[in-house]
Amino acid sequence: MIKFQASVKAVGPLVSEFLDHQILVLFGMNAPPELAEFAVLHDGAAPAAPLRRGDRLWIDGSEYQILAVGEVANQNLKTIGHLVLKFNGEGEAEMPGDVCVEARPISPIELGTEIRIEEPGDA
Amino acid sequence: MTEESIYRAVRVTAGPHGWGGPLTILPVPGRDLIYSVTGSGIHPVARRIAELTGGVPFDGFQSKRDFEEIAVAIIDCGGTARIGIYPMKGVMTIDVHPTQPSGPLFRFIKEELFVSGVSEDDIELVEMDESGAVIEAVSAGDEDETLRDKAGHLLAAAREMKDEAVKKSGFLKRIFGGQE
Repeated sequence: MIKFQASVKAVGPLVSEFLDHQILVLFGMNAPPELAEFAVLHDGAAPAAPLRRGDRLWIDGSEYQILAVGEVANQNLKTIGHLVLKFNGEGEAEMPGDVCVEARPISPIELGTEIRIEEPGDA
Repeated sequence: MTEESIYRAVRVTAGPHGWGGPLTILPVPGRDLIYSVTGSGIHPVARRIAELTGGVPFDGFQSKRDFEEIAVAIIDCGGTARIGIYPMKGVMTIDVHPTQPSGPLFRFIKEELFVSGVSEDDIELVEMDESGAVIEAVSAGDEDETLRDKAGHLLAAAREMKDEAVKKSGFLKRIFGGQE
């Protein structure tokens, strides 16, 4: 099941600084400009179901397993399209807003990049 | 008589497991937005600060305003992104979650600009003198004998606080006073 699907509409000038820390920050389109500075703005709707450990994140053709979901991460995504993705391989969220995924190189983020979160098939 | 008299100051202290502060928030004309950058419209903490100070509650996700107009930003940041951006811009910041300095912008998060774990119970009215120094805490409606008994003690404490605050007044002026 696809839980979340979005297309990148804007890439802030400080995004690369966050990527250097293996962090990708998403906000919905109505984020104020100061947040858009370090974030990717996207057109995704509220997730169809809460994200959970074991879900898969896709950035275009690259797949990352979701290892941990912080306690306020789902609320953030639902209300303001906000997601903090940490590519750190951690099994516990250090911060309540974190979604931790596998520690692998982050696929390039550009206008039009597709971001998707799926629950693996229940077959 | 001055326009400033329409605003009152509040002191905001860290809640349980919170960090930083206390912050003294005093809106001034042109810098009076109580800027809620939270997921649910105007957060109750922002609403409370606006009620007490006379500042204007504002939802950062609804429309855009300049940083110079923000008296204080209220965030519900999970620890990485919003936590640093407002302190980086020199805007006093209240996180309703009990976060510690963290994230790529952590170096900007100082106790003079940031306080966390804040609920409505951590906000109190204070009196300030003309230099911006806090001189007295104001009890919300509890004006009984006990309070009067405390007055002498408070006054003594206030002198000490004022000395401390005068040191900070340059900083406060920079935050509240605009283009100096």
